[in-house]
Amino acid sequence: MAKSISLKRDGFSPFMTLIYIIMSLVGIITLFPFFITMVNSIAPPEDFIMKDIILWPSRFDLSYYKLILTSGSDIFAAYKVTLFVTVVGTAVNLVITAMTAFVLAQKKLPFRSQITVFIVFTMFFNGGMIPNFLLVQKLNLLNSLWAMILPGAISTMYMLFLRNFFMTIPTELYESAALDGCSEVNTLIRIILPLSLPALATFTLFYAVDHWNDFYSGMLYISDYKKQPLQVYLRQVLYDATVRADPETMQKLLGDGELKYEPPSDAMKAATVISATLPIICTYPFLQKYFVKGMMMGSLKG
Amino acid sequence: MTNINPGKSKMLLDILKFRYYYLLLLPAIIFYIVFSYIPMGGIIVAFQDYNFMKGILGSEWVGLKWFEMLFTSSDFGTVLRNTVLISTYTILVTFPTPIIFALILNECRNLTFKRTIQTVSYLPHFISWSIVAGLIVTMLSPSAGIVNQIIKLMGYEPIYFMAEPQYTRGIIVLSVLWKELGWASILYIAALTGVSAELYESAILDGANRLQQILYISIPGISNIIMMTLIFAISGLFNVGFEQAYNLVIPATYETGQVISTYVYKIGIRNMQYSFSSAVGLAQSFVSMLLIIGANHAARKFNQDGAIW
Repeated sequence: MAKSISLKRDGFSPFMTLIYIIMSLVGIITLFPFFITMVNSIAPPEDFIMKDIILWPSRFDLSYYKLILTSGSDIFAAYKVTLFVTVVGTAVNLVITAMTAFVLAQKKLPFRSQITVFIVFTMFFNGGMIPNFLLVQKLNLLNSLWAMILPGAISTMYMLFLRNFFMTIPTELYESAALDGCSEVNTLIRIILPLSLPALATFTLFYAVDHWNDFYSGMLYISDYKKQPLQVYLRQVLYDATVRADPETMQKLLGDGELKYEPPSDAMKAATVISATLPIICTYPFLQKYFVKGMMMGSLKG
Repeated sequence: MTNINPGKSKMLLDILKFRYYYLLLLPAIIFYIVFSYIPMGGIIVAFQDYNFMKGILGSEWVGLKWFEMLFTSSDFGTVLRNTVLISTYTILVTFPTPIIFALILNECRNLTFKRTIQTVSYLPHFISWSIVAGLIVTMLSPSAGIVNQIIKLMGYEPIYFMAEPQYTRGIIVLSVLWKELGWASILYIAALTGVSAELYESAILDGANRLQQILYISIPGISNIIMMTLIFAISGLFNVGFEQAYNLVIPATYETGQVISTYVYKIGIRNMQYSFSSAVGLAQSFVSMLLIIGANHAARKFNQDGAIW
């Protein structure tokens, strides 16, 4: 009986076919913008002139990438800024987050709940854009890369998740270590952190992706275009008529015949978009299980 | 030491015992004071005529001048209207769709297929708004964009979608849908896997078809989460994110796409009217806070576990 029921649920029907078609469409619509932008970024200039519709390039042409990714180009500079902010920012985040979470996980710490309230309060109230800007201005951090790191040195939400995780580690483990004369810092480094590697990996990813995608603080605190992060640079390029390419590389590519025409600005923009997206897309398949795990750990920000 | 009572000295001893812990906590405490509490105090510039040279402590007090200016400014009327319209449309479109997506996905019996679609659908959540804008600008480009190539093939004139005010709100709403559909469905999908299989089996025995199973078992099984999400979506009514609006709206489309957050940025950071823009930001935070408190109250009434405090 039970078997026949399950067979009925699994069986083929127009209803099931419709469901698979709809879901496949959702998948295709999700991926299509990446696909078509990728195609635009490798289609040769003649495709843009000759073809009515570009669904596939007539040949793979990487010259736009050569033009924008040379060492003299703007995107290269923006890439360096974003890499610095992501690496250093994530390191700062992890150190402070782990220290704070470790201390707040000590159930016997005097004033623990008062300190927690002091911290959690900031999740619900903040000064807003302008007071934050005025503060960073007063601290002389405008146009400094640290303005994209320090104001976000801790995410209260990630810190609280990590604290909850630390609290699941049995206290006997490190209380006996303390009896053996192990200092607090050593306890954290030698006992707690090695036991928390999967959780730490998850938060490293969260922080790194947040830094990589950070648009807001770059927009707010950085006006020197040489120090713009990738996302801010990208926003600026999108609505410009032309994308500035390194003139030397341009001459070389045109002279070699690798480029038959001046590169179309749509293709240059597409190549810029893909250059900024690729690191996320390439790592995503490996990372997504951590993200979903983190989401489940306490329903993250939507 | 003799004049300290025993309870107090025990506490002092405790604090002494935990001194290294407090030392580890110090960077975080400094961080929260400097980057959270000081800006909270900085809100008072909304009641001042802030002058950079004089600073917050030396600037002149003007009371509610900026708030009065706010309600008489015609710019603000447009910006408020855009904000409420865009967020209302966003809720109308992006609230029901993840539920429908989760319900349909839940019907898929092929686990590999199901997992693939799930993984693909989360991807756009991890892409920044400037990249989303980049993908949209590429697709809608009047010269080489795929959408206009199709329009031209059908014999019509290409449309410069990004610069035409009548398309701006639609572009914003649809891009939120594209970006967050999968991620917003995670909670529903998780809740649906928790609905007992026995319920479905007995429904089948009673002769319920697929649609009836969805209507009478799946949806009631996730109604709590649906309600919570709706309440908190409504609490965001006066807030359209800075990043999405800033990346998808250009000066040509301000009349339909300029929202409070991008307006605060423009008049505050670009035009350096710090006090007026703080007042705008404060008014928005105040209304948002009332909505969140109201939503939380409603959530608690509906379900004890749903409230955030």
